[in-house]
Amino acid sequence: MRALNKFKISVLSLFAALVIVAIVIWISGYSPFDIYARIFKGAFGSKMSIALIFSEATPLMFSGLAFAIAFKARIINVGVESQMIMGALVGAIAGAYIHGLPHMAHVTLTLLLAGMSGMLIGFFICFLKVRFHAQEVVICIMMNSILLYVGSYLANGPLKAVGAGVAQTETILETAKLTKLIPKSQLTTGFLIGAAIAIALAFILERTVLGYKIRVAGNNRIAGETYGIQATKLYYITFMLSGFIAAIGGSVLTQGVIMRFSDGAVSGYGFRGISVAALAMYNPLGVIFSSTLFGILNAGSQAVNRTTTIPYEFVDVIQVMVVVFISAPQIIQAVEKFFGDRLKKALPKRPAAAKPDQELPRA
Amino acid sequence: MNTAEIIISATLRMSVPIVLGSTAASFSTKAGVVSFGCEGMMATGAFCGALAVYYSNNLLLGVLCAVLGGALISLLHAFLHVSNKVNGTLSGVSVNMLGTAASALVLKIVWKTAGFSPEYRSFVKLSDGGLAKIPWIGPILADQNILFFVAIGIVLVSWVILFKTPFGLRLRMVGENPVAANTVGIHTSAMKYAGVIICGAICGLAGAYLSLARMNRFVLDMTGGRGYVSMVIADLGGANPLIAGAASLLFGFFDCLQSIFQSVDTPSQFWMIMPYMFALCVALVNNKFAHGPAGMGKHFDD
Repeated sequence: MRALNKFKISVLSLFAALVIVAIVIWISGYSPFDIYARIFKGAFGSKMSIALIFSEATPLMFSGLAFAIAFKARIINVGVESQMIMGALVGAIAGAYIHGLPHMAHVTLTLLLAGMSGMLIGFFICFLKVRFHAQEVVICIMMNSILLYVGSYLANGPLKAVGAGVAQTETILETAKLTKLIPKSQLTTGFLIGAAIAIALAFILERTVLGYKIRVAGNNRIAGETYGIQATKLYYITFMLSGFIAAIGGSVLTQGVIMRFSDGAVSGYGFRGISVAALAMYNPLGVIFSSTLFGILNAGSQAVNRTTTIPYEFVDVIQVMVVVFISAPQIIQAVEKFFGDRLKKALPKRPAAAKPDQELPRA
Repeated sequence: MNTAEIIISATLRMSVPIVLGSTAASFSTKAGVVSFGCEGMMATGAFCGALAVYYSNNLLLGVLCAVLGGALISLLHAFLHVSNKVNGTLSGVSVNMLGTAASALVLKIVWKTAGFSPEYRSFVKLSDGGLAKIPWIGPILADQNILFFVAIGIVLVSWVILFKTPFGLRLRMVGENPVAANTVGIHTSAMKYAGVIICGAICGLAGAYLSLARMNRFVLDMTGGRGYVSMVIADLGGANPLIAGAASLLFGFFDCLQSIFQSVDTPSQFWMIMPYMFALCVALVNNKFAHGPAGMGKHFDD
């Protein structure tokens, strides 16, 4: 019942966000129905556009998962961005400079190295937080900026590809590229890796001691400590797990789409992950679907943007409004109650539905 | 002007948004609300100011619109955090994201460009007046624009409001202990709303400085993390506008290094990292000598 209620709030929030943005579109002189129809058509128009949905969803899924797992322990990891940049950077280095490995081994090694680097960033942030009692939010935000410029420096300077006109590293080797699920598209096995991680996270959260501890620490830290859960240790583990996932997301972006690290190419996914995680109600399995949903919006708006001058920036506004509505479900509940009451008054009273027969004992 | 004067003048110029931002964050912090949304409020202020000046060609109207815009988006922060008890950081993140996303959208709708606006009129330096004739500090003051002096005024007035008026006392009490404040009959939610809205208004002014004085066009992400830095600086100053304002000068110094050393043969990113490194270090040493209010993020009925 509770899960159903959460699902309802999540759907209504998305609907409310779409309505608000529709009003904005209408005020600015376009037809919202027309735009939404075009987005839908653009997203499902061809085989390639459907592939684009999932390839757009892939990085969002990773950042959404990273944010969701941290939020389960009530940690707000706004440093997902920095961990993704780190992952993309390490992925590009490992992909371009490790030679002589077979395809599978090279891909796996690159992903793992990138993941470890994200874990390292997570560990570093935790260490600063625990050792200096600084606010992790501030550390995360500053790490985002610092790593953005470190990446920019490396792409402009020491790691710049020979003869490249713009700031980018060497293209990664063929052996490090993720296998494409649909030829000529950007849809790679990265999506499957993300889905596998989501399922693994759901399993960890629901079926293991570690997941139980994370949930207890998130719901009631004092109760958890009384019970013997070491909050600091758990904080480290959760944050590093979150960093690991985010960095793999960055590396998947490098190995599947960009094929190199280039200045500023990975930015912006970290904060969008918050919308993805919020729409999924911080449930790892839900993240698969919520990221696909945002993938539809992104892919559709890209298609719309190719043919018309309609601004595609409103997709970002939809994502933000989703966060607002999900984090304050009271708003949705109030609106629902308002319209529910009106609806009840407006509709003629129906005779009470006959109660369903009680389940018969099996013979 | 000689080199020292150029550096001091640039430092002052760079620190104005941080001075205003940290003053704004002080109000929010003192009311016990996380000032994480400053970034989005600044961005909104910068955009509203740019929009108003572009259409009216009136700088005063631009500043007013920036202040109103900042206050308006801060209402969302207050509504989420105070009325709906959303975690302050999360509601701040939503405000920041909304500030960026909404400006990008309206920018595209109004100007049909991605990321920047056309150029418009902006505040000019005060070099024409008699300021330059003042010995020692004259040339430096003449290198500033009117918003610099407005900022100094706002810092002083804010300090008086926070520490010398009944309103300030109540605001601080709500921040320290909302339950006790509620018991003595203070409307804690109203006080928190007031703190956040004042924060938004001053952040809007800081944004106006960026888009109307520092540059003569609006560029997306032109706040560049200054809202977050303001929050750190306000913490460093114990949410006291005077101390925070002085600390902002340090940040301004690190920010101006980047424009001075850009021509020197070192990677420009090295100098661009400096302000953030500085803010990070400040955040690390902060807890040694500054504490936020005890009731941070708490509500009267928790």
